[in-house]
Amino acid sequence: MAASIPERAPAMGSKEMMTGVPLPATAPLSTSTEPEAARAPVVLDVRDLKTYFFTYDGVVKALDGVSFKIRKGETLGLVGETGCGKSVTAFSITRLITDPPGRVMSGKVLFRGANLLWNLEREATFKPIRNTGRVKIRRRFRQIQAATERMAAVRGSGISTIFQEPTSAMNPIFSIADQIGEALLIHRGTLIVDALLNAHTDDPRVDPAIDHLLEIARHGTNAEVRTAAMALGDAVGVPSFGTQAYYILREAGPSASECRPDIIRAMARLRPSGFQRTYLKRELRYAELRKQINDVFLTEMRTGTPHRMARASVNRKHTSMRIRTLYLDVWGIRGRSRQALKDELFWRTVGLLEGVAIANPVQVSRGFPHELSGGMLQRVMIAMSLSSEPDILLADEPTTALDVTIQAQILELMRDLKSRVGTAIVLITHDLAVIAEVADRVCVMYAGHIVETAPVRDLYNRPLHPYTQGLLASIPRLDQPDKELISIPGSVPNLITPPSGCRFHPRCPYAMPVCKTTHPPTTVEGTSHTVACYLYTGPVAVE
Amino acid sequence: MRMWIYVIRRLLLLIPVVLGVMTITFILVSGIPASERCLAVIGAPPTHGGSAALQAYYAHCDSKLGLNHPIYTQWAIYMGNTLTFHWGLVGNGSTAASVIPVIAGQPVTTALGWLLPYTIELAIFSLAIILVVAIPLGRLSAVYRNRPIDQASRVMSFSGFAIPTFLLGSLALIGAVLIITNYHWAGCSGPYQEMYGSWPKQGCMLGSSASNNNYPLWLQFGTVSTPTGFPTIDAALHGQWVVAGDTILRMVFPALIIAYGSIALLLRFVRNSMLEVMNLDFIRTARAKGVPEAVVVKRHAGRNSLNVTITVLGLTFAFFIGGFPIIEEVFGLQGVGRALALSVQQPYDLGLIFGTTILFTFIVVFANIIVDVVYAFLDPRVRLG
Amino acid sequence: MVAEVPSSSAATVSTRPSGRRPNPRIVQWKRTWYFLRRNTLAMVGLGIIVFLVFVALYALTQPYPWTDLNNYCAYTPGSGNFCAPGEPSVCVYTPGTAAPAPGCYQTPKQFPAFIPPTLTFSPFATGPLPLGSFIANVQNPGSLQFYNLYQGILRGADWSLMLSVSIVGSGAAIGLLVGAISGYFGGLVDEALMRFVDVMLSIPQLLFVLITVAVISQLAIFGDSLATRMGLLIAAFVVVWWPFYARIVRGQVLVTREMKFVEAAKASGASAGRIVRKHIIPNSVYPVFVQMSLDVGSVPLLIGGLIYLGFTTIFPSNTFPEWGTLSALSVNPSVLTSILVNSELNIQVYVPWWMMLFPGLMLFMFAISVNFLSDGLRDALDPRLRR
Repeated sequence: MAASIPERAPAMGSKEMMTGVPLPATAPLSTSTEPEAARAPVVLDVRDLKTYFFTYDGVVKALDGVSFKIRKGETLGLVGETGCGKSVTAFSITRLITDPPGRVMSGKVLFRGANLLWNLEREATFKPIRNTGRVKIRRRFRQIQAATERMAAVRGSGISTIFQEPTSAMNPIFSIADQIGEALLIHRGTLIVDALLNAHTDDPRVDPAIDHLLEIARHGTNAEVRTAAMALGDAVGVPSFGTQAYYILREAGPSASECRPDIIRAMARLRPSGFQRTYLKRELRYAELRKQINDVFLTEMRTGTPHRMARASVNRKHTSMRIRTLYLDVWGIRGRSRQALKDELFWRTVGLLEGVAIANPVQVSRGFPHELSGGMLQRVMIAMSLSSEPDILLADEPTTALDVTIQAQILELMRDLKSRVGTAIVLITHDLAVIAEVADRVCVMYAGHIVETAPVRDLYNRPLHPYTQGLLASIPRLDQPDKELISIPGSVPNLITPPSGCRFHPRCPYAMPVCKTTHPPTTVEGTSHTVACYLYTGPVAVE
Repeated sequence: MRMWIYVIRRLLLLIPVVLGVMTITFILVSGIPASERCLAVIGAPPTHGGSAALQAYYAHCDSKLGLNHPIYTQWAIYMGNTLTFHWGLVGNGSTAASVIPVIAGQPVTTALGWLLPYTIELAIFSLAIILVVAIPLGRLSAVYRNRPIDQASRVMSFSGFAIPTFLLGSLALIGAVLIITNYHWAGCSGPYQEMYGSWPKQGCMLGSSASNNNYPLWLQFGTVSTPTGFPTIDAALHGQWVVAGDTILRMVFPALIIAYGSIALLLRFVRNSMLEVMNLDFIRTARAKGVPEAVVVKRHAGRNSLNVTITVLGLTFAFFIGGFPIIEEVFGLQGVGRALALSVQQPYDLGLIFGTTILFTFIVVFANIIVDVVYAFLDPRVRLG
Repeated sequence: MVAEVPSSSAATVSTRPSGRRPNPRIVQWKRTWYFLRRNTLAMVGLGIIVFLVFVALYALTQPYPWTDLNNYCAYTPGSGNFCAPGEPSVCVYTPGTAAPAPGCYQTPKQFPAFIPPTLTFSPFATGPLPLGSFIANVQNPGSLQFYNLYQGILRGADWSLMLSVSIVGSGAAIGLLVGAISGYFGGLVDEALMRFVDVMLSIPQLLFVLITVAVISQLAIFGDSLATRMGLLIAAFVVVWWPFYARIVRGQVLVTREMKFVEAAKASGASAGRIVRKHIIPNSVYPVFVQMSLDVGSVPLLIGGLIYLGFTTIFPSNTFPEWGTLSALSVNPSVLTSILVNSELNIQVYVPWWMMLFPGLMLFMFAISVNFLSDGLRDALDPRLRR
């Protein structure tokens, strides 16, 4: 049995992973050429998002009214130069903006029926200081703290994020398995602990499954062994055991078929006893409480009113649980009672890492972030964020910090996952080539506004906004090597004192007097192609 | 395995530091006139026997100290003596010997060995207080930046650094004694006071200086406690729980005063390191993962800032140790700090001065090694390089 | 609803003549000053320091002696003792007898005897003993001599400020130089210097100063004048103090020398000395400022600690007018013993609270104000606070 990437690993995060039953491959998602009615439902609706940064030099108006919609399963590209506000958009949605100095001023983000930004007015008050561009802000600490707490209901399980610098994005003192295991426990804790507590190791199907597995290990391919291992995992009721069995056999190499005692021994971890069972039951209860409080948070954001009583009651239950079972922590200082859970999470992590095409997942899981390269870490981050099957993945320049070859691999991976898992992706980048490869629709941003939105083919074939035209024209072409390189004249505006009206007007070759006065409205051209430019509105009266 | 390699490497790095420290003390010692050094090394010159005995005395001294040889031989002799714990003798007429009669004439190492356990107990007590107060308070100040708790901790840390230790200790002592006597809780009357003296100072002032009326002999001031040398443990071993409790109680005040100064220093560092950690990328990732804020602060940020905290703890250990002479002098405790304080008073005691200095330095170096090891234990990145 | 956030371009940040970029260093200082101004504690600290500087300047103009407090001879009209004409004197009487003349102070005659502050004391004193007085030791209890605490505090301002500034300044300068050289050149020089610094930092500060001063005062080859004594004291402290700065500076230099402008300077052929002087040092000096402002407050505390431990030979006299000295004198073990013994005997206890309070208060104000200032400086200079 050669050591190589398993050809048939369960899709990452999919139902297969959890239950061990293979699913048929999903059909590719619809493109924009389909009529409106057949389109997938909207999962995220961002309306008029405004984010400002209050610095010593003045107020940086990073986002001044950004709106877009994301539909289920589509990949939206957010393109723009450095400093145009793409990352700020992503962070404003999940409220990851560092509060001093930044502040989400206004806007609505509708997700799962809830407005993620509902309490903004009560969180801070503003008073401009005379004779300077600065503003005095009074922040209400408690409100902001409550708002950040509430976002925990959505982050990770609903909206996941991956960041630009993978080498610094993970905690350096915890191993990879610890960190991914933490995410798994938070979002899938109930499933995992349930499976563990109800593992049926004396099911009549188990022994024949083991025999079958060892039989295949003698002379089968990696894929076949994997399938057999997964069948074993399914028989036992804990799919990660299949992963563990597979790796036990892989490590044994040629003597794989004599591994029966090893497998039996490994199965012992599925029979937690005494303190371990109590510990697991406590984790189950914690997971349930977490779900309850997330529900409370979601309801708060849906209805727009705080539910203090509900929150307090869940917190009380949590605290009382904690106090009642404090002895478990004291006893568990030796680490033994946690072991069943840790092992389970470890092998699930291994399975997840297989799904992102990491060649030696066991080693990587045991290792630390500083031992891995950027590309590997980015894969790990992708695995971590998709492990909870979120509706949306915000990818903030995931490939900018990587080499081109690794970039290609990551993009390939994302395309693969897109077809298998079906998460909507918001891909933020400044690289038009990346967009062309992966995205379904594109939003072009400039200086804090979205200037054009279109399906990807329409954008490249028929760019409407002068900025998009300039961007596309400035891409050097390999088949015309002697052609002079075109660039957009001027430079990106200072967002503390942005240009009035349309922010692109100082650099626009088609600028008209009206462009200087008011910001152009967004008009629709074609099925789903919108642009914010006075070139495409009807005649406008100039004041 | 990597851990052991790291530890061994740190211990090896210890050697040049120790040699360096001893060289510096050697330089200082060489500045002292020879007669004083002879006193410390072989005791007083003979009073009778005439000039022949005196000559023999000086010859003996010269050979012991190598005064006839070039400077590097003297250095080698000094190194050899120090490393083999031949640190000289405690003088018979010095202040230290008169206050703590048991150490008069003894080798310095033995004397320090008797006095060290008292200091160690006090140090453990204050370290416990420091860690328990400074680390959580510092973290709270960072998380709730500029809120009331941060302002309060700021006041505490500034005031702790601005009051001289001796003043704080003395004022605390005077205040406590006055309050207690004014309300007639103590004095030297009453059964407890007659047994153990007036709290917080050990022993009643009346009678012999700082004598303990009814302390068991092995725990009276100026004697050595048996069998282990640690007063509390010995009291427990002898079955005298009340005495054991009393010794612990008497350490509360001094420990608090020492802790106040060190907490002041540590609090700022803990707060700043926590603030720095909270701005790092992986905290944002943890939040984006959906980890509840309390867990982010406690687990992700806390464990990472612990590294810097431990390092600073090592750095401030020197400052921490430096406070001991003063505190022990104020409260009249029988530790190496008091020995140092007494040894610099006229008539001073050379052997004790240098002995205690070298001891303190060894303690600081040792503490830094421990800090490095703990640091490596907490941060896996360090073990590689 | 977005409340009144100023719109673009109407109100500009500052009005400078266009076309000339201001000196970035000046801009940096203006920015630092802006943040410092907003920090109330730092402003309070600054205010106190300014006040203390004024006190020191005022003390410079007064004819108080520099090394010894004024020694007031005590006399009681009607009894035998009297004072030489022209000698500063003060009239005392024991409690229980009638006041012989107006303006006489009441003082207990047994040791320790002192004169508490008068109820009508004012900082711009007219009477001889506004802040109280004390006896440093009693040579002959028959004739008491009192020392004037007010003068001690005023003159102490001079001494404390002068000593701390010179010690910290020299220590910082030496440490800056050593740290810059060690950090910039690296290699063997760096290793050797850093080992040396490690060694010196391992010895606890108080102890190091103690034995250095002990040994130096043993040498007695420099004579006994005030200048040499002070010089020796400052030298002893500086020897102990500079390693701390060296380490801080080295850390900062290691960061600075990787920056691009150093590389650019090297590429344009600047010599190593010039690079260190003009590029490295100005950019590594910020943590030094912060640390200096912190240390200035702790020097008098350390000096007081030394005196308390019994090391009275550093100063020429027992009643050297310096805050730390006066503070240490007030709680020296004999005073403490007498308080404790008297309290046990239930005899009336005389606690010379003014002696402990006023010098200690000045020390406290000095140290805490520099602490506030340094903390404010650190917050203002921190590039990570992202303002």
